[in-house]
Amino acid sequence: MDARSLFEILIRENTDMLVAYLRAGVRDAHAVDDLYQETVLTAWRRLDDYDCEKPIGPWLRGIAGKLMLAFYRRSARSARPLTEESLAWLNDRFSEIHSRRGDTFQEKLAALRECVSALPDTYQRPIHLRFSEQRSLSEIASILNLARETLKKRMSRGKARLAACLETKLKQEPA
Amino acid sequence: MSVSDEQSDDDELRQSFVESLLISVSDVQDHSVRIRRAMNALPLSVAATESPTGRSSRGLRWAVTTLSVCVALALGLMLPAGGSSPALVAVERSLKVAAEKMTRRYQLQVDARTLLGTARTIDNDLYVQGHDRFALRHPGLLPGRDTWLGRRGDEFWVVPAAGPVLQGDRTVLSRWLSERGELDTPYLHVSTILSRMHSGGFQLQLLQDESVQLPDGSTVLCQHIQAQQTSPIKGELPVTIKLWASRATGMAIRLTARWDLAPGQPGRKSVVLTYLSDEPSLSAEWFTPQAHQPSRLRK
Repeated sequence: MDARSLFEILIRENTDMLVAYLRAGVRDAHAVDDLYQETVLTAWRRLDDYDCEKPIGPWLRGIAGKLMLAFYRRSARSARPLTEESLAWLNDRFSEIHSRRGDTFQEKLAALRECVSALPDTYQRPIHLRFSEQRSLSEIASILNLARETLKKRMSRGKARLAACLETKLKQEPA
Repeated sequence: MSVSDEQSDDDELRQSFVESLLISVSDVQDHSVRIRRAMNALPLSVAATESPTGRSSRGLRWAVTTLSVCVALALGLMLPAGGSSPALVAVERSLKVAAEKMTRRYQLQVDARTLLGTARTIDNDLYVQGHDRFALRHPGLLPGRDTWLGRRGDEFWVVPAAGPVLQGDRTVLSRWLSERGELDTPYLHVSTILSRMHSGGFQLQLLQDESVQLPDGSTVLCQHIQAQQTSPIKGELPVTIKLWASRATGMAIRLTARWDLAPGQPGRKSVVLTYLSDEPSLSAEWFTPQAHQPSRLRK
């Protein structure tokens, strides 16, 4: 097996996590795509620096984090750029997820599924419609008979509750 | 920046974090195009690196040898205690062999307890190629009513005996499996069992070499490694996993995973994988659902 094939195995195993990390940092789908490509290319070029006795996920996140900061420096568009502090916070959360039980990133996200299940229906329903059924905000507003602004606030409160629940679970002993 | 602005930034980051994870758990992600594009954009070899360290001369040779070890380590997630034990070395060697793009056929035998408390043994045919391709034939109750399920890279699929073909990400397969108690196990691939064996929570022990008799009557001298679960969180983990790996090649010849079921509890009790043959004549298409739809069935 050649080096590219082996490298691809490592990348495949970590792409779910890497994309989620980039998406949390930059939100813009096109930027996530570009930064993912750049991260993989940089990792390939810097293989010399990788200590394979350590997990590769944090190493890839380290590269991706630097690229995200550079992205925000280049881009004057964002009113709320990612800072080193927020990047460190994100990194800690992803490290906590990594330490959860499970073979895959999906399995490690069981805590989030538990948090969603524990949400009151008022918040759970719009989040389910938005993310599981991929409905637009207008559709959800129509289904739930809510004004668009009310829906936005409800989604925002639901996500805030999820964030609090998830942070508590992630800080507990790895399940 | 005011305190309220900082608070707002924190809230926004938290929401962005949760939103990203919600997208991930919604299982709408297909990364195969993204990965292919990224891999195609790489320079031809790592030797082409513009590393300022000036160590590029080691380039490709270094990358191949080091990455082989890295892949084995990364697939296992965590090193068990006593990281360089002979048992661990044997498991890592098998993992490396399992990652080769060779097509191999295994018998996958699942012993299960039904809802009525009766024992059921199901023999499935498993074809594997590398760590991310497999095709499994699950026999139906009537001849010609088999179900095929498999994986090719990031795409998972099920060709049921009747009804539409299911294709998508990992959840397509896991949902289908979870509806079938006797097959409800993620341990459907050689690499998956080896990775689990190699992960934290299992104590590895190298036992006496044993000769394993294959279904065709031939015997293979094997290293015998036992992994005993030590994790306090039992969950869905098997209590023991055993590997018989060819002493000559490192290839997994037999793998068994056993679970402790409570009295009367239905579900799978054990999974036994036994090597049958190499299948060099099978094309890559064998790992797609198209190859297993009745009208197009061919080897």
